Amino acid sequence: MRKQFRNAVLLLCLLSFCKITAQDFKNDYQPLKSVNPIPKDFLQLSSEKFEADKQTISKEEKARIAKNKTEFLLSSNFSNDYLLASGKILFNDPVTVYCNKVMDVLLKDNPTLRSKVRCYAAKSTSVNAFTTQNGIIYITTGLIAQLETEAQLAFILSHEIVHFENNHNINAYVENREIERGKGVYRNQSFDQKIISKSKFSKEHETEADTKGMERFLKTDYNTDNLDRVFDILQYSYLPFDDVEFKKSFFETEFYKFPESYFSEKINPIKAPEEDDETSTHPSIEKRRGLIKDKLAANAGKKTKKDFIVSKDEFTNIRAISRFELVSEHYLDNEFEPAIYVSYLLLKDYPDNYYLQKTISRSLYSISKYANNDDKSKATEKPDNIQGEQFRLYNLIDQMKSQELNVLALSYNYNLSLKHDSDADLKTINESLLKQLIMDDDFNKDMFRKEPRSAYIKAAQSLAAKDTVKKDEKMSKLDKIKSQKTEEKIALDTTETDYFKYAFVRNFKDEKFTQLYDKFVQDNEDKQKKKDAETDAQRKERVKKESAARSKRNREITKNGYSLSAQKVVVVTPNFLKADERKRQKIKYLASEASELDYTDMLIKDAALLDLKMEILSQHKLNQNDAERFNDIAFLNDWIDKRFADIDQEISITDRLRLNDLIKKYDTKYFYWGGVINLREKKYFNYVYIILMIYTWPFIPVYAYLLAKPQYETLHYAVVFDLEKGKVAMTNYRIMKKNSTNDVLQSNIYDTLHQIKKSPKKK
Amino acid sequence: MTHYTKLKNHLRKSKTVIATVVLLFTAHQLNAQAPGYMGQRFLVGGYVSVAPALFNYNANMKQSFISFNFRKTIEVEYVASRRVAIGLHYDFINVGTQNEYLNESEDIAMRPTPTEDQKFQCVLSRAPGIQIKLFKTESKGALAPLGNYFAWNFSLVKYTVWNLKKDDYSTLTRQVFESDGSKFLIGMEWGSQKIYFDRVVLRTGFQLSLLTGFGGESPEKDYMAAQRIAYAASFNIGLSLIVPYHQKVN
Repeated sequence: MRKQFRNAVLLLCLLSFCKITAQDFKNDYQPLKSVNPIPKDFLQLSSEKFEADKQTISKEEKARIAKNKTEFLLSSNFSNDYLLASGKILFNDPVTVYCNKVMDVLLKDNPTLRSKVRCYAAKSTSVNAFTTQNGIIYITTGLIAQLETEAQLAFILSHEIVHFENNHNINAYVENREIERGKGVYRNQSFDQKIISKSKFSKEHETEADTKGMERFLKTDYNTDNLDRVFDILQYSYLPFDDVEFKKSFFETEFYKFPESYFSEKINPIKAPEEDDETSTHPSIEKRRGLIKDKLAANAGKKTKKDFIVSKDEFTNIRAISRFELVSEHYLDNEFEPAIYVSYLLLKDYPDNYYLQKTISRSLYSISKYANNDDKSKATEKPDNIQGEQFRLYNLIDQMKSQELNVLALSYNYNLSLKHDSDADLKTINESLLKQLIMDDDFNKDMFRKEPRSAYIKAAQSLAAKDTVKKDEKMSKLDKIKSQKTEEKIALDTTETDYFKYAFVRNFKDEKFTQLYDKFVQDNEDKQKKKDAETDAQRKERVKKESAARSKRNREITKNGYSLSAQKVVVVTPNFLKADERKRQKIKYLASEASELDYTDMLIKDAALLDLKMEILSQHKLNQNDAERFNDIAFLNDWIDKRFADIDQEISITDRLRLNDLIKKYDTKYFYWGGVINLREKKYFNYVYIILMIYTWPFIPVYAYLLAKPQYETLHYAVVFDLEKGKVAMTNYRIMKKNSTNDVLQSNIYDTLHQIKKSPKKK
Repeated sequence: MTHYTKLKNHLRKSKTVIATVVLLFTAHQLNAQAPGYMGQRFLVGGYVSVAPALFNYNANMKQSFISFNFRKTIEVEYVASRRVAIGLHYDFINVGTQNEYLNESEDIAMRPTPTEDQKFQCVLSRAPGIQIKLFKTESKGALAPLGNYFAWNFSLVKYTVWNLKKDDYSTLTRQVFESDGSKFLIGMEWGSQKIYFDRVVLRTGFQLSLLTGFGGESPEKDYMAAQRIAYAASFNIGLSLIVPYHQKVN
């Protein structure tokens, strides 16, 4: 009885836990995060992994093969760890947990193999799964977003397991090296033949993985009916997970209607992409499909047909999560149109989801900013090659000019902010867009301020009356008709070039909007008046003074550096890369990792000398229960990438809540990204010294020294961000024609930290 | 009293003034919060300058092209800002080497044989001075006191030379001039400083110098001084220690 009671309590706990972990997508979405404990894969040094793996190379291997294998293990361990440290790979999150449960099903008869392989979810828009030599299978959220059943996921995982089981990665590397060097059967092959040989070898691996993977898959109770569709998913992986017509009404309001010409009736039809079967690393989809069909035909008698063994609900949940992740990943990659379209698709199921609405708002804001800066092409894609229903969205944005995009973004964002008035990000976007609209060179005052303004007010009053009456449903027939006429009149009063002039009719009912609008208009007019009142001479004098002040400040920074007066700084993923231009394997992985650890120690040492409090957010400084810090690193790295991608666009930050949390948590607004790149250069002009030796022989010792002297280039960089303002507070780049010796590094690090700590000179 | 003597006396008195100016400047710069090497800004050490006889035509040229003159220097250096270090130094200049020309056969008969001491100090000078190092070569990682630098040297050289006119052939003795001479040595230096073990500074450099000023009292004396002291070109190498005094940063 007691046992039963205990089991019941455990079950209840488990159920409540599941309820907590399962997301409710109705109103909002919380991006995926990793959960404690951090797996060993993330904590162990790459050099340690490499040393352990190196022991697996048989001593009986030929020296050349052993060398190639060592090379591979070195580069693969470090590349893999680079990926693990990127923050894009998750652990103990719902997607990873689910994938591992499917792995349990696949490998229930092979616990030894199961203990060697593990799966991690990778936040990425690409539709892909891949395996590493040490048994990690990465599966992207982009792939999961497209899947239909758990059985399809199981089939993909069983394919990947074969790659690991049969050492495909290392074998492919060694074989490719043999092909490149023209050894053995590859002797005397031409360049083209070598490419084909590589492709053929890779295809053999893929075919083996398909065949053996299918054999493993068939041992389970999974349904085989929909496996064919996995290949469809791969074939059309460049398309979003659904193909739904993008309706212009999505952005329209009652007074803001797009011209018909902006929405094309025709779209580019979906066509299967052509494959270059000869040079591709994978066999063609059709060949793979055929192979699987043959295998299935041979096992046609299979009785059990389960699309889901672990859980259908869990699958649906993690697929929804993956789709939500696509939204943020597209946004982070500055793929704004896909971000909007995927959000649009998800809004069909979750129409009130704020996360999706906000992403659309941020994407429109970004597009508007890029367009305003004449950089629209960097933020958008031409619709010519866009297939399917998403074409309409691409086409709409493509046709809109800077000011139109500004109006669209402002209209969408302002209306969203009315529902979420406590969101500081939306407020920031509103101000930024409104200011931009009013400051626009093409800004037509009459369109928004004079005559239309009175029309707005009239329309707004009429709307207010209409709304009020609508609520109590006591409007007379004549009032209704009258109100309708007003609306029609306004709607008729537009052309294709000024169709957006009534976009803010409703917003002018809002006092906050009106005040903000008036303030910016006033500011703009004041600025203009000041500009007009200025004579040419005065303008030149002002420009000269401003330029002199800038130069003075730059000189001051060059001479004495910055003075941030910070008491604490957080260093995010300090980085050290050592490379040798002369070698085939250019990156010196082991030296890089060792130097990175030294560099981190130097930072700590110099901060202590300066009484500057410092926290290091680095993969190498985490312990098993630091998932929270790991998530912070992931967020900060995403954030910095995005800031740098948008650096020329003056885009305001729109992650205020999370940034404020970080500032509070770490008790500083200063976050430091820095590191060192050290390159041993190839000396191209040695022959000059040799010639000079012959003609000016008394200087032979000098030339001998110059010949023998190694040539280095070192870059020390540090960027300190002020998270409160979301702007760069300090940049420190130094390119030095010398090696990254300890004294050079210490000196540069101390100088950088000194600038962070010191106070400005008292005047 | 000639103008020259007046100026010379004035300069003697002004040593205190110069030292005071340097100290005041240094004290002022202390507020500049220069980073120094990990916050440490004082260096104490010395170096040796080697001037090949090839560049400095003097007695040694009579022996061989491969002959050298040495100058020893002690110095105190202070990092005044990220790009500037100021040093006070004191040179010991001994022009003349083991290949001292008076030992040559034709001279032995004619002139007094110098003592061992004289052999190595045929010109003896002491030169207090100031050096201003500019660490401006960003591409070479210059950040005072580390990296490549360009320096200005200003020294007041007090020297003693033998008065050959007073060679006494009967007693085989010789005398120095009655009064010491003074000259300004202006030098330009290109060098590099490296730091080992966070404490030891290795300095290497190349210096061009010019001896100037206060001529006229005795052309012969001036000529000898100029000939022997003027290091047209010298290479130097030395070691300094960073004083472990760390300045607090506000």
